[in-house]
Amino acid sequence: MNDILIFKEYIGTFCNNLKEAFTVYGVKQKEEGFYVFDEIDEFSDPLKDYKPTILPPKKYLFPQQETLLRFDTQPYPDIKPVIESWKQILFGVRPCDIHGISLLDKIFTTDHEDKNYTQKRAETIIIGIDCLEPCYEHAHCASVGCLNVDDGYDIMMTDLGDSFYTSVKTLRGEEIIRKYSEYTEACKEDRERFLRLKNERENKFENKIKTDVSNLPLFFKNADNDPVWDELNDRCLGCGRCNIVCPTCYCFDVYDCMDLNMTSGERCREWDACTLKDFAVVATGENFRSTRGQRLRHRFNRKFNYLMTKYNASFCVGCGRCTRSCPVNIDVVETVNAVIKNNRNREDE
Amino acid sequence: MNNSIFLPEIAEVISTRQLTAMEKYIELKIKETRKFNFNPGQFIQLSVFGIGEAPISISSSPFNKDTIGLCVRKVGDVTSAIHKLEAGSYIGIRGPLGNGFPVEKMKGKSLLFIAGGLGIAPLRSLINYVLERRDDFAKITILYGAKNPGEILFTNELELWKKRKDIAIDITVDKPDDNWSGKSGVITRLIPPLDLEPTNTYALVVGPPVMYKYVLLELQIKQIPEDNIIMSLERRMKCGVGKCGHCQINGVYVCMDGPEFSYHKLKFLSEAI
Repeated sequence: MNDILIFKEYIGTFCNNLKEAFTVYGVKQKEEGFYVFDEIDEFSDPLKDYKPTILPPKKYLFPQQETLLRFDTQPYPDIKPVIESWKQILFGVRPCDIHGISLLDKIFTTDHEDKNYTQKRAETIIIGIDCLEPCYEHAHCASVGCLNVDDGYDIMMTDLGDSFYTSVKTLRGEEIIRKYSEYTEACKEDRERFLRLKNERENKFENKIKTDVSNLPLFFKNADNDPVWDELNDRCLGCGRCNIVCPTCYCFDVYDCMDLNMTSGERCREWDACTLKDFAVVATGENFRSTRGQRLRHRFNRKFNYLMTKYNASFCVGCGRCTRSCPVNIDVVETVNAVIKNNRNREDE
Repeated sequence: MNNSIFLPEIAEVISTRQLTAMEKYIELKIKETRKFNFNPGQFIQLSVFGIGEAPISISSSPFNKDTIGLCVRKVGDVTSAIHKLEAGSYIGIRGPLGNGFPVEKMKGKSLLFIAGGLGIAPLRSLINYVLERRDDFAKITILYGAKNPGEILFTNELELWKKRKDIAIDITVDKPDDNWSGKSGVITRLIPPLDLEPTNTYALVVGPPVMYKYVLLELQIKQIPEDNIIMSLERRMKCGVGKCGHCQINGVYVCMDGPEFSYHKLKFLSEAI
């Protein structure tokens, strides 16, 4: 399908039409300056200039709590997997969050496919909204190569003022456009305007990390004993907020819940956080990352070294949510730059 | 729908045996009519429904494909619930998980088993394997250390092993009591007197984290190559399939990449031991 224009006056109708066949999740303002993804009732225009939502949209693919099994223990154990999914649309997802979802796709399909995730993902259509201006001071998407996004969405919309320049990536994206939206073919002038805006944005997004992102695993491999972890050890509260708001954090806890009859129940999983004190405690009581500095080092290494090395992509997508939500203002960009700087200083010595 | 990675299969508890105050041996039989094939050193995720799941190493011989033997120490919610199970109870298992010891590479070599405390549980599976295939291996030495005589596991089996002429076995306890006539002191003291052929020897080491540091020192003094020192690590695991993140050590997952690792691999992992 060629690129199209969807005029803004039709966006509301498009979104409302989608609700006939899908559960539609979009961006709502929760309070001044704070946005959330939530089920859309009446469509208002949330797409303009929203700052990253408090939680990323991963919650619709990997919910905070999720049932994995239902079991009945009497008279004989009867265990059934629970994999819940429904046709859903994530409307207005930013490039950083699309990257986040693409990374989770890798995690949950590699080695052992996690059907609880992949089945939800298969039924999810993603309508992206491109960024033409930095959304807020904590964003560093350009520094980690996540401003531009080529994959992981079905439809991408770019704000041209009175309309959205819309590129359709997938067949199912095309189907919903044809079925539920008013649109016109984009003409040559529209395309030129779109490309001009895309070009102009390049200078607006600052490269905040002081090296090419692909070098970061090398810096982190050499930073196990970096003083930055001692400094953060004294500041970090070990609260886990950075984990909880991260689009690419996927660690979880698993627990059983019995029904009141005490014979049947559920096994559930719930988001967990590697910065929490008990995360790496073993049965005999040893804690292999007992200090907050060690746990933060682990978290940063997951984003910029361990997973990055395995999957050849930065696991920080630059949304800045961790920085925004940190109660003691630990800044992801500052921390990465400190690791780079300390490494360089060691080279000089 | 039935291919959830979290779905356990049902196993019946065939028998239970109290080994010590803290450890119980339980024997399981899976309900599916299939053989349970595994490598020594692999583990299962064991479910007590309503309580939870815990990773437990397999302690029985891999040649016994009909039942699965586990030595379970009562330390948490799940293991306490396991201790209450009696023959005829049903539980869930997922596995075998992990990789196990590199038995193919070990063929033709001398083997030095070093078991501290509950570390004998996974090593017992491997020991039974090599005793069954005794001719495939050169010299076999088993070192076993426990905190006190009351915590020594598999005492009957140890007696049988002691009687064999084709293996050497040495046992020590940290704190002897009045009835103890054997050696006392930490397990590391058993290593220096050994006459080893370092490059032809595999050391298989399983024990509490504190033991590894000192055992490694002694093994390095003996000049055992780093690739030939194999250790099995314990971590909390919630999924067992490389997702939940709990067992991660630096860049590796104990469930997927281990639980056995060579010292050569572990020495680069600052959070390993």
